[in-house]
Amino acid sequence: MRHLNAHRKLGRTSEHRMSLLRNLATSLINARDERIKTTVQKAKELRPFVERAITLAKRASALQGDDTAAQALHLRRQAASFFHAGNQGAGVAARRGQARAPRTAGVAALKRLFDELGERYRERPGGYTRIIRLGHRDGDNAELAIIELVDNPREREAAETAAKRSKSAASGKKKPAKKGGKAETSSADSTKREGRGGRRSKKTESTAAEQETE
Amino acid sequence: MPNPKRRHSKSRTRQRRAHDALRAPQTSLCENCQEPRMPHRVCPKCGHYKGREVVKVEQEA
Ligand SMILES: [Zn+2]
Repeated sequence: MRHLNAHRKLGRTSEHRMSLLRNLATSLINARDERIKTTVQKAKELRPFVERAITLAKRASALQGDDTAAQALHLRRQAASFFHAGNQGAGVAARRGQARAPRTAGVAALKRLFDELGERYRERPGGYTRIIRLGHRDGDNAELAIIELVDNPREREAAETAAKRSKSAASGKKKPAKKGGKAETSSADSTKREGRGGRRSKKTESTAAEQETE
Repeated sequence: MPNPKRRHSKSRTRQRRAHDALRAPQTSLCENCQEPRMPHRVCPKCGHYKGREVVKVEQEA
């Protein structure tokens, strides 16, 4: 019985599985739009895996006190094990004046993790990724999903335009809900953004917004 | 090796299979395009999910 066995084996040996997870984590963090498409099972295995790496970066960005450099380096080396990155990411960058392009995708992912994502998720208590189911794939009928980093640039942009639009709608009220679908989208989006206090409050607010627009 | 002693009647076979029917998947109408879609999944027709997010680019050949 698989009682108390938390993870999927994904039909692989442990080395193969670790390698897969590192590849997936690297792809997710390096992806241009911060999302990758994979099977639901792989996405669900990847979620806790990358989130642990992100937490390390988050802790590095919140360091205070004397030996922060040493602590940051340690965190970075710990995080390196979540990618095919070696542990060279920190030292290599500033050689001979100009910054070199990272040698491997894993090193690039590690760099991006510590340069960008640690800062971005500073206030977020976990839950840095989102999994959205897509349906089944032709061929093997595997269920696919998108896994993406939350709070990504595309999302923030959408939230900003939505906020702008709702503000102008409130002040002017020239064209109230001309495009029903569009208006609904924006208000739901903005309430989700504001109601960050917790899952419950978020949920009630968004449903309230939906009823309002109906 | 064990072997069947008698043939089964059609009736017996059909009675066994009476419980084998498959159910159609549960669907609801997409809020955006009114097409049927499965719950908790992106609409395959228009790529919307949860009233917002165009998760997929709308594909048209
Ligand atoms: Zn639809």
